[in-house]
Amino acid sequence: MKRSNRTPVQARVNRHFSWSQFLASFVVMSVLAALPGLLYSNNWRRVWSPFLPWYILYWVIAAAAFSAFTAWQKYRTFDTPLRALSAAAEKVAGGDFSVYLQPVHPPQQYDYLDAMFANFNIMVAELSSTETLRDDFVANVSHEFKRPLANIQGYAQALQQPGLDTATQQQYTAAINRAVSNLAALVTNILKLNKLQTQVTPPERRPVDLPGQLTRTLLDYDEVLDSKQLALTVTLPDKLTVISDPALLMILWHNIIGNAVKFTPVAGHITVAAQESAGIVGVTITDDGPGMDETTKAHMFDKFFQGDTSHSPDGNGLGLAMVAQISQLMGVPVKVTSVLGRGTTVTVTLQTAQA
Amino acid sequence: MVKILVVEDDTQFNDIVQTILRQAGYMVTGATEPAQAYVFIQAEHFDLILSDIMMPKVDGYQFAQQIRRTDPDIPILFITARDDIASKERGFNSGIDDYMVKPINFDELQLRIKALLRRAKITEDNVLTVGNLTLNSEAVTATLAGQDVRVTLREFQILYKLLAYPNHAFSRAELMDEFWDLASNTSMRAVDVYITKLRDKFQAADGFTIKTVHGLGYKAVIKQ
Repeated sequence: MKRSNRTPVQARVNRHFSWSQFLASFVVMSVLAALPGLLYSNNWRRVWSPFLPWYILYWVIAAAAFSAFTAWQKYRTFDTPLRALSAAAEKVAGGDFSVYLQPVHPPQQYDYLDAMFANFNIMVAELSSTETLRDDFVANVSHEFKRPLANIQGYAQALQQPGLDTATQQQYTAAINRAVSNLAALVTNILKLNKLQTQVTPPERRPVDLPGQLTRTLLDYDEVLDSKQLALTVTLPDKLTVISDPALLMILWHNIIGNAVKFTPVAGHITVAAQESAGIVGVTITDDGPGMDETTKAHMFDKFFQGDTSHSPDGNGLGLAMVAQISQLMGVPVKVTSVLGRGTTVTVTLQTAQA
Repeated sequence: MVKILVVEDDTQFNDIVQTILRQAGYMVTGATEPAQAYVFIQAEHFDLILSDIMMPKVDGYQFAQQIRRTDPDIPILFITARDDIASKERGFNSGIDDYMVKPINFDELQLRIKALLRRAKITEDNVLTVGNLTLNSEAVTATLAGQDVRVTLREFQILYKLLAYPNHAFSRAELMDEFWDLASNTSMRAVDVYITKLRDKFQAADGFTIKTVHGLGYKAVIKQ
């Protein structure tokens, strides 16, 4: 849980009463009180009277009372809440994100301390959620790696037994090969996604041949389209130039069209269309595949989420996470509508060169 | 027999590449670093070089550039773990012909080696032969079963392109960009007209067919 080797720091000294404050109040109070008398009598020698010690004693007590009162005030309004904040901060520094600071006043009457408490609570909640995300990510990554590794290990061991017939041997090696391709794709995708997430340079904005990209992507899936006997309806203008980042946009098409190709059953139907109106281009990719239920829809952009586990060997649940990341990076809206058992439509909205 | 040189510093990977290529019927020599590879190259002629990028001392880019200075035609294929565009670009700028990212599929490696050797042979002889069809790119002639077939330059170029990259689907726009003037305002359907003509003229070809790919483009499918 704890990621750094820094240790939380604790307060070492308790300070409420201070001698300097007491002395300063005594001097200021006694001199100020005596000032009118001195000025009026116009003779400072008269200060040396037998009443002087009583006068001093009086102001010592008054100054002490005043100092005690301010110390108590400080303790009540300043020290106690700061002490609570310090204790809470110490817990967070130690990796405990369960702390909650109760503001003293109701929200309508928040003073700056209450506001600080409230903001501290928000800050801790944010920290805790990124920490959980990170933990989940690491857990997911290691799980996704272990799955194919376990297969490789198992089949490799099985291959070592003597007297296996050729058919079985080939079956085992084929399983190892599949697991390896899976691992390779996983590594590539994690790297790609990581690159997208840490990208600092803004995406390019230059003219992109949209029908060219969509056609190229579809042709890249030529073999699967054939082997699954998928019908394809493509409605694209001959020429349509949009302003975007060509490399990122290409990844977007590969993931969206790749999903359509993957999830549409044999002899299914995929439609790809682009329509331009007033500088806005809508690209829709529709399939008559299985569609998605509400849970799947809610989580489809999450990393490593796979709605349909029957397809999990062919993917790693990073495709749509990449789509979401690219959509956010380029400011390109990606809308997904899906009806369970009927199919899914993905709409990507782009801008033309003229706009 | 085709001779292949494998340059790779990971000896385990080097060994398995050699083994698989030998099983596929190639004559293979392995080198663990470019310095050793130069020695082999001076001693005998190779038809193709497979090379890694990240190697100690001399890297793959320098190696490829050095090879290109003495032999501009030998196909070089990079097999590397680097899959970023910048590395690929640098590779192709160093004069390589193809690029594969580790881990590789060995069936794909063999297909790519075949395609590279095929293209190298085509460049060497200017002649492309598929079944009973022979295309001569220097004379721009097509000979089908011993008979000359009259083709226009553009018809020849399209057919040559499709056959030089068999089973690769080209979109109409890609063919158009390559063989038509950029300024021409011809409709994409012009490509269809040319393909129809080609199919008509080469009906008797027994080595390939031109297949329409989902109404988007075309590819030459080699008949076994």
